[in-house]
Amino acid sequence: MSNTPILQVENLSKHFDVQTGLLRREKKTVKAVTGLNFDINVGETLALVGESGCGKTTTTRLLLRLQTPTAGQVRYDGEDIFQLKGAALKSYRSRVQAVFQDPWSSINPRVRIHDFVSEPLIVNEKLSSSEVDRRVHEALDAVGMRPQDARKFPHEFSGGQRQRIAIASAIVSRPRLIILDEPVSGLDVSIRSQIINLFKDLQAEYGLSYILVAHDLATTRYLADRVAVMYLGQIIEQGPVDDVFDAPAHPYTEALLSAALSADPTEARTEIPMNGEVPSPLNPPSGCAFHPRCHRRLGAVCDVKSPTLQAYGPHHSVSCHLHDRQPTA
Amino acid sequence: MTQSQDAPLLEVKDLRVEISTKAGSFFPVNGHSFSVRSGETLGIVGESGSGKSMTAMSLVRLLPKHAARITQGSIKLNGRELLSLSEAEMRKVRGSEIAMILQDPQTSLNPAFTAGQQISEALRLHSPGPRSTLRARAIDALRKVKVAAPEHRVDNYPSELSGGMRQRVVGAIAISCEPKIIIADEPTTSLDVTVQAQYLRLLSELQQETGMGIIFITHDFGIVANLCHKIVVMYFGRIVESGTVERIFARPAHPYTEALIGAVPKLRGHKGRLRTIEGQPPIPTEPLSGCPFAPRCEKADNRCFNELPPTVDADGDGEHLASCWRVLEQ
Repeated sequence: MSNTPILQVENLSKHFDVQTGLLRREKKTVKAVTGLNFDINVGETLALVGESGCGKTTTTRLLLRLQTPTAGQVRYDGEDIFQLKGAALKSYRSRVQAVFQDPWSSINPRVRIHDFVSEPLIVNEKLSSSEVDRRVHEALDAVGMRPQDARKFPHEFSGGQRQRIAIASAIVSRPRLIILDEPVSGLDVSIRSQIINLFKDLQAEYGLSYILVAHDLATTRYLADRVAVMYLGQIIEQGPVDDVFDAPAHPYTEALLSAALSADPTEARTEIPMNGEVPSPLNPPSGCAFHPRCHRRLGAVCDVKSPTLQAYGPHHSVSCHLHDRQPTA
Repeated sequence: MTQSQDAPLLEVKDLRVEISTKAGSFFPVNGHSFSVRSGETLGIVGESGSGKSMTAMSLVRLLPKHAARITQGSIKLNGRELLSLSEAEMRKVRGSEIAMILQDPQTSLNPAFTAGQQISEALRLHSPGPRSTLRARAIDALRKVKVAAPEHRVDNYPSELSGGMRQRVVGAIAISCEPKIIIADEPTTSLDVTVQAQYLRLLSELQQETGMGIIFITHDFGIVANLCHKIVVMYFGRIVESGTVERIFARPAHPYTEALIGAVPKLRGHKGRLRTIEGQPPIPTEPLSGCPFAPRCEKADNRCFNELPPTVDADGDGEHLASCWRVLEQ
């Protein structure tokens, strides 16, 4: 892992206008993500965690340039990705790939494996057909499939094998960054561990960077180097995964981790109950967005003033009034 | 509940389900025996295709007609044999004595009816009372599953409810007639960890209140470790290991169980390379001799490939059973 960022996200926001109320006459704004700042270094995995609706998916869609931001920038090799055009945009598209949750719906059932895996090459690169074949075989080999599988159809494979094929298609264009959106949650336990190991092996071999979105915190712990915890569109805690998981600084992170069920019956579990559900992003609470559910609420300051992300430990930052006066370690 | 503490609520003995296809017939449930006592939670664990859901469906006799049928065994609920009931009698048992909670609250609720209407439907069928009280009883059921403001939520359509709330409504339908057994088939896979934790806590609170038995069908070892008292591990239509949660996690006897537990990422402790189980289960319609796990087993020898292992008492006290030649040799 090196410290050169491959992607720098600066102050990224995406707001959606929606019409609500009687006869849809009322205009409101959903702040899907607001003021995100993070870097992804070469060969590193950053995980985004949080409950549904916290903005994880919007963030990945922005990074894939499937949506344009309301404000902010995403720099790839120093250039803002939202300004890219023509060849530079094609190059970005082949360098940043994605693997999604459901391998049954992400592969076209009527297309042979060769054609599915080679698609990113056909779209973004001009290669001879023998070169395409060579690259497809190389990618299939890297994910543990055989060259003769290229001639088969998706229905001939199991869920785990399909996920391998989806990964082959993601690495065939030799990307530098892959966005993994719930990449193992649809798979059986035994297959899940194979795919987690495969992601690690590919990262070691090709120096890939990953952005991981997963709701299983144990999987996140195995795959990620750093983690950003999101709540209602904002990053509320960010840091090395072991630091954050072992000693969470934000009450939300603490509650989220306490809700996760450990696969060890001897481990004592004290769940910190959170009041109610995630508030609607249409009417976010005043002050700190987490204050209505927080078990460590300080008082009026939390209701009124929204906290800012500040240093908490080495490479570890948190946005909470609890740590306002604490000296930075 | 009037029965004695020792008598199991649900007792399944030597249950076998046969599926006939053009390619041949096979047994997705092959010689299952297990029991659930009042207030007890049983986890049925296994990979997809191992026969978990078929087991659940055979307990409520909702197997797909024509394709699958129960060919032998017995299912006793409070001492009554369910397999000899007529279809009309069985219909009375479903919902009122055994209820099911399915995986996806999006598809198990009807989008065109309100939460209240769907709860009332179950009540009307199974615990008749004056029509005028149905609404109040539906509100009551929602209150039991800790839905906030149940008097308002009762008139909401599923689309107006969050995922966690919808799963609670499904839960309210299941518990509305006070069943003795609830079968929950992967009830929380689509939920956030926080909502999952709330929902599971709710189920165990309801269990403590009513003494119902719960059968969890899951591949989530977190749920098993935290909520279940006993586990049944299934592989290829067979129970390969069964016993208490503590013993199976501490000393798994079957190599398959051991590998499955090793393949699960842990929340704490050492982060090494995860264990994997190479290969795939055999094809059901193809003839098989020996242990079905042998081709994927690191410890398999000649005998494993040729002779089906018997079910062995692993700890010598009848509380921990495993089907493996290796256990017999120890």
